[in-house]
Amino acid sequence: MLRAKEALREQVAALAIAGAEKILRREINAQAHADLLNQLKQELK
Amino acid sequence: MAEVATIARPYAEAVFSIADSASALPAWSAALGRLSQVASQPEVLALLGDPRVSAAQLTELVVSVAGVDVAEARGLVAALVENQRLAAFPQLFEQFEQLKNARENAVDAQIESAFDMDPAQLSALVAGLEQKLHRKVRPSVRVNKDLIGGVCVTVGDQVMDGSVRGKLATMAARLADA
Repeated sequence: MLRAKEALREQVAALAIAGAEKILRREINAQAHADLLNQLKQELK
Repeated sequence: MAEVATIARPYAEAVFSIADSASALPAWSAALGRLSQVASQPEVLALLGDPRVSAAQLTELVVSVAGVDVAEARGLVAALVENQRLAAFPQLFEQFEQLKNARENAVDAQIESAFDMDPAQLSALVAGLEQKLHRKVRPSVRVNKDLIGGVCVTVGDQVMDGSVRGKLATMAARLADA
C-alpha cells in the first residue's frame, strides 16, 4: 500500500513537470527570455 | 610518453614570460591562436615524420600559413618542430591563455542562452558577472534551445543557472522529496 502510494506520487510529479515543460515551451518567447535575463542579473547583485 | 599538458607547460611558460615582459600579451595570444590552428591540421602533422621535409621547411610553412612574422614565434615553432612536439601546440595555447587570464585577472565565461542575445543584453550580463566575481569576464555565447528560456552561465567550476530548464529541475527535485 505504502509502495503503491510512493509510486503514484512519483508518477504525479513526473506528469506535473512534463506538463509544466510543455506549457513553458509554448509560452516563452524572446520577451519572457529577456525578463529571465534581467532576473538573473538582479540575483547577481 | 609524457602527458601532452606536461610537455606543453615549459613552452607555454617561456612564451608567456616573453610576451608578458614585452607587454604584448594580446598580440601573442592572437599569434599563438593562429599558429595553433595551423599546427593542428592533420596535413601539417603528417609532414612532421616526412623525411623529404626538413625541420626548417616545416617551420617556414607553419609560420607563413599562420601569417605570423615575429622572430620569437618562429623560434618557438622551430623548437617544437625539432623536438617533434608540434602536436602539443593546442595545449600550449590553452595554457598560455590560462596564464594570460590569471595575469589580467580575467576569467572565461561560457554562456548558454535559450535565445539569441543582443549586444546590449550580453554586455549587461557581463557587467553583472564582473561585479559579482570582481574579475574581468570574457564571454563566449552558445544558443541552446533545450534551456527553454533564460541563460546558464559557467565560470570555471561555478554554474549560475537562470534557465527554465534549471528551474524545472529544481522543481522536480522538490516534488520528489516532498
